[in-house]
Amino acid sequence: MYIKLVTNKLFSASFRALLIALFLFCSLHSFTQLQYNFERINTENGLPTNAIKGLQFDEKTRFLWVATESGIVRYNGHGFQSFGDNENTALLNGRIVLFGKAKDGKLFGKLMDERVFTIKENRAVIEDHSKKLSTEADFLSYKYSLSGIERDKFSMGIETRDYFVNNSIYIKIDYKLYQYTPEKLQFRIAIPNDETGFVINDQLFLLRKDGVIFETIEKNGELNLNKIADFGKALAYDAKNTFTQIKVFQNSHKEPAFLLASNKLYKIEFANHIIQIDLITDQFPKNEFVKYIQIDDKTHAIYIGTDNRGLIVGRPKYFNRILPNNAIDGVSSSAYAQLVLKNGDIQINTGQIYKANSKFNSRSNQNVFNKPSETTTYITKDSFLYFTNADGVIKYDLVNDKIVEKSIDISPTRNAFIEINNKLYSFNVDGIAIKNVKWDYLLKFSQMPFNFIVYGLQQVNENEILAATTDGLYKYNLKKNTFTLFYKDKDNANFRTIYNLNGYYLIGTYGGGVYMFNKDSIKKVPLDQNKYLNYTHCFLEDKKGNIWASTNKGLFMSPGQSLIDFWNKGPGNIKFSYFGKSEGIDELEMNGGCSPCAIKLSNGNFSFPGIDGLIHFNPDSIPAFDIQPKVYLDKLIIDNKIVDIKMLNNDFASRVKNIELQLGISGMLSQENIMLEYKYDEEPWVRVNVKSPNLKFSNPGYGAHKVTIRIRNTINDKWETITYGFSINYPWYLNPYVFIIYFFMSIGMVLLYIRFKTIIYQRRQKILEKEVDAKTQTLNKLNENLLKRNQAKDHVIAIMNHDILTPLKYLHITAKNIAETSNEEKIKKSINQIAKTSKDLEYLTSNMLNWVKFDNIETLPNRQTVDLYSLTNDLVEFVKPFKQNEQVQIINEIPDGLIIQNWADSLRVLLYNLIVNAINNTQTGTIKISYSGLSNGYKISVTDTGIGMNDSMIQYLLKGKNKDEIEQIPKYKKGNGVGFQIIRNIVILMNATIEIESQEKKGTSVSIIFKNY
Amino acid sequence: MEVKVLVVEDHSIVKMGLTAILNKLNVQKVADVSTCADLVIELGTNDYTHLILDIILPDGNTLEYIETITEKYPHLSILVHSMQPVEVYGKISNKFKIHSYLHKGASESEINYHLELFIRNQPLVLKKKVEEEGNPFSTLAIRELEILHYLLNGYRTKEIANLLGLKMNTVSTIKSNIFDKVKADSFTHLLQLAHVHQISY
Repeated sequence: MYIKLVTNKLFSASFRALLIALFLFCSLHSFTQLQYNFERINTENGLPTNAIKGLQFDEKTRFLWVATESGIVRYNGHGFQSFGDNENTALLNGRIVLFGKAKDGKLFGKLMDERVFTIKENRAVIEDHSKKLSTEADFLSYKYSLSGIERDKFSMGIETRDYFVNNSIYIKIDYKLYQYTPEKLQFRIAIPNDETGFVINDQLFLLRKDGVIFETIEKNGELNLNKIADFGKALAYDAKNTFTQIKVFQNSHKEPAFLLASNKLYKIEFANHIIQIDLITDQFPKNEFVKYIQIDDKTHAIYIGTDNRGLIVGRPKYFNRILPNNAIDGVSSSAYAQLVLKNGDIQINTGQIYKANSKFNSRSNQNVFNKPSETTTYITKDSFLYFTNADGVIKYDLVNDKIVEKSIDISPTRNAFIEINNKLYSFNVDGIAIKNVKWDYLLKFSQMPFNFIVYGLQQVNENEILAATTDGLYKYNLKKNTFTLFYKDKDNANFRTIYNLNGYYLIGTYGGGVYMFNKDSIKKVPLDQNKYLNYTHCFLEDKKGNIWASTNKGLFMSPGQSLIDFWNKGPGNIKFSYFGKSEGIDELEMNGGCSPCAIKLSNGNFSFPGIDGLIHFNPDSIPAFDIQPKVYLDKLIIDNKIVDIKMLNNDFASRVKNIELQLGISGMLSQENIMLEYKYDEEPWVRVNVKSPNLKFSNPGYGAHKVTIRIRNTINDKWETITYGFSINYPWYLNPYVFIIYFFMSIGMVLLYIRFKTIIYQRRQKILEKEVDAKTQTLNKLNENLLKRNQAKDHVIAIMNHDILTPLKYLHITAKNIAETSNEEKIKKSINQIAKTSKDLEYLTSNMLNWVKFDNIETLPNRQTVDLYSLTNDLVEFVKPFKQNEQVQIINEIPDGLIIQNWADSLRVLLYNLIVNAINNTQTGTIKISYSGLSNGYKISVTDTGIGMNDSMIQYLLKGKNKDEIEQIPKYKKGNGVGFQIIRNIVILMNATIEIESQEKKGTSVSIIFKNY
Repeated sequence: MEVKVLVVEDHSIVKMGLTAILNKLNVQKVADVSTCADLVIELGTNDYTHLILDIILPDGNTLEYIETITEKYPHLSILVHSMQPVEVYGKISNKFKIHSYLHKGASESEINYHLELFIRNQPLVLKKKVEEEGNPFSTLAIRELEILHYLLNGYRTKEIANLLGLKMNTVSTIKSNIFDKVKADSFTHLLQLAHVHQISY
């Protein structure tokens, strides 16, 4: 009901009276108006007291400030916040004397001790503890920033009201109206009937309790009252009934004036010299001592402050719950499958009929569901309704309104229907059937889970039908005639509904949330912060492309595109609004698992089945409340102690263990429509429960930290972000400077340790030194002994040289001479034997000396220039006495004058041994010593025509082993093998190689090969 | 003039061998002594045309006497016949008027040849150059070789000075030179080197 009452001030009083009368009786107009749902908020909801002393809605922050007998509190749509936290601010929890809005828009009030508090964004604060508002005069001075005022006038009054009109301040004191001039109050006019003033368009009006409105007119320096409207009769004023008094409410001259008469609330408009009142609601709570009224322009919410009954919040009611108008005894009002009857009423499968269309007042004669039916029904393109009841599968002709077929060809239990290519299919507990002349099973289920039910069917492509069942999501392939499980919820939730959103299929489940299916893929849609979407029933798309979804705890609306964006771009793109009790859904639990689930009515309304009736609403009439919520820091609690939030800028002591940020959320939105998250330092975002938006950080760690908080309305993706930084001092022992000390201490410790270890090592060293000294002495003694023994050995060698070798030589010479000169054959023979033996001994001794010499040295000295021819000649001469037979010729084939680089001594011994070896093995023939140049060196060969040797002997002589082996060698010659041992040693020292070519009984050639260096 | 040879040798068999060779060379008058003392006496008692002189004798080192003998018996032809290395002691023949230095390690034919030239007072043509490389003692002078023998026999500086009629400083200097030249860092080392290089003492 919308009533517009108007009047015009230009007409004469009598004519005006006539017009008013005409208007009063003739200008009653009815328009569609908002339905309201009023909620009382009192001490049970957190209000400190039900005695309201002031009300201010701050449109900037979207907080409602409520002054009470027990302090100033803040309301954000779902909770209160008080501010008397400590000794200094305790009075903010005390009685508030006055609360108002200053001329500059600042909200301020007066405390019990006359101090002033102001509203700073999200908090009530006492800025100046010395400032007091002792009198009404002080209050007005503060409100209008006046320099002085006549205080005497105020002392006389009981009630004072002030009006700011066209830059002038009018003050009503009891029954007189004054105008303020600097430091003076000027009496303007008496108001004998205690009219209440209001200001519209910089003009002051006065309303009398009986509904008469006067305008104030300046004329010849005087202020006159002119009756401009009388709403007394129209608003049914009854002088005898207190509650019919007509009252005006205006917060400030810039805000609208509201007129309240009984249960009707109007907004007073003044335009073109006409006062008119527009009905806001005719459901205003009756019999309330209303003191303050504020209306939120954005949401049209009405905030009402009562004298003693707390706060009343009226919110537009967009949803209505319809109950059956033909309530059938014993049948529940719980709604499932709906059928719109011819008169617009809705009959559900249980038989209950709900009145859904006000145009038809009569009850429908139709009774399609005359027997309770299954919840899955289906209307074919040719207007036949199929459903199942106790009579079987029913085919109902909706045009002629009669049952045309009852079939028991297939199971009458839980048949879900779908029409494809003019063919009707039914999925029931036993299988899948097709409607031909009669129902014929296409596929019989063999092993389905107990209590298997098909709830919803959707054709997703030419050949496949998606089936929502109690066992998960199945696919039926029309061509292959196969029915296979496609997806099963991990919690075994029932799949109930499948809704086609432009090829993206929304699937509701009972306990498993919402899924989306597209092109053979399935994704789970993120739940809302309260997880209401866990039980999702029906989906329906409105004209704007928004998807409405019913749940067990209210309705959700989400732009279809945001759901498609979720599919294509991932989580975070879904926008939604929640609608619950605040929007007028008084019973939140909805029903599902039925077909159809939700339906659109011809009047544009949506009808969703609920646990107790149908929920009807017109989605087009519901505005998008795209209000940006904000988040504030209300309290800072350090180690369970509330501290000034300014302390957040200071560094906290290192002992601080717990930091708690209590947040305040503005916006006047229901908490379901707010998403609040925070991030600590660089950690991931964490969702915050909007009901208790407190962030606690235990043992936050030393150093600087950052808390980022963001908030958004769920219907958009605009995050409002605030960041707080705080720092916790390092304890002295973790201070970075102390680390320098630690560093040096560490170095000191290391040095100390090193020193300590050094002392230990030094001690050990001394002990070791002593031991080493002792050992050294022992070793020296041993060495000395060895040296002595070595010297003795050397001495023996020297003696052998001097005292054995030489005498042997001369023994040989002597013996030989004696033999030569002796005539006695016997003696001659004996002496010759002595001569020969002495020669052998000389050779043996000489070789033994050489063996010892070359066996004990590791390297030879530098090579020298050697006259090889001469050296060989000397040797040939030297060895002649060794010849076995004078017939053996020793031939030096070395080119005369050949000079080589070699080791003369060593080479001499080498060749000496080779030649003597040859002599010892050669009885006849020749022994040749030759030289031949090679590409990279040269070789010296001693070739004889002696007895030769076999391969094994050659190998032995080349390789040689050890002394034991020497003992074992087969003797191929006389001698003791020392010669070849010496030869091998010398060849190794010379880094030369030895080659032996020999044939038994033919001779041997031994070559030493020297490489150039 | 009849050849009279005095063989100074402490090995009787060597003396016999030498005598046999000399006899073969038609030298019939061959006398022999075995000590330095007898050498001095014998030379003072009888005339000799040739002297075959070993260096190391039981009572001393004949090097000390060579200079005196050559001065006192200028017509006496001297052949040093020793086991001492030629490269070390061969220089004697250059310094003093000595026919040649015959090493005892030489071959029998070489000995024969050597002695024949010596007896016939024919100069010896060395077929080969004396190889001095590798023997540190070859750098020592005659005086140093004299001192070396005393050192190797364990004589102290003072004793050597007394025996040779030299000042101690002189002996010390020579001693120091010896150590430097043979690159010996201790007496033991010097002894080892002497053994290695077949220096008898």
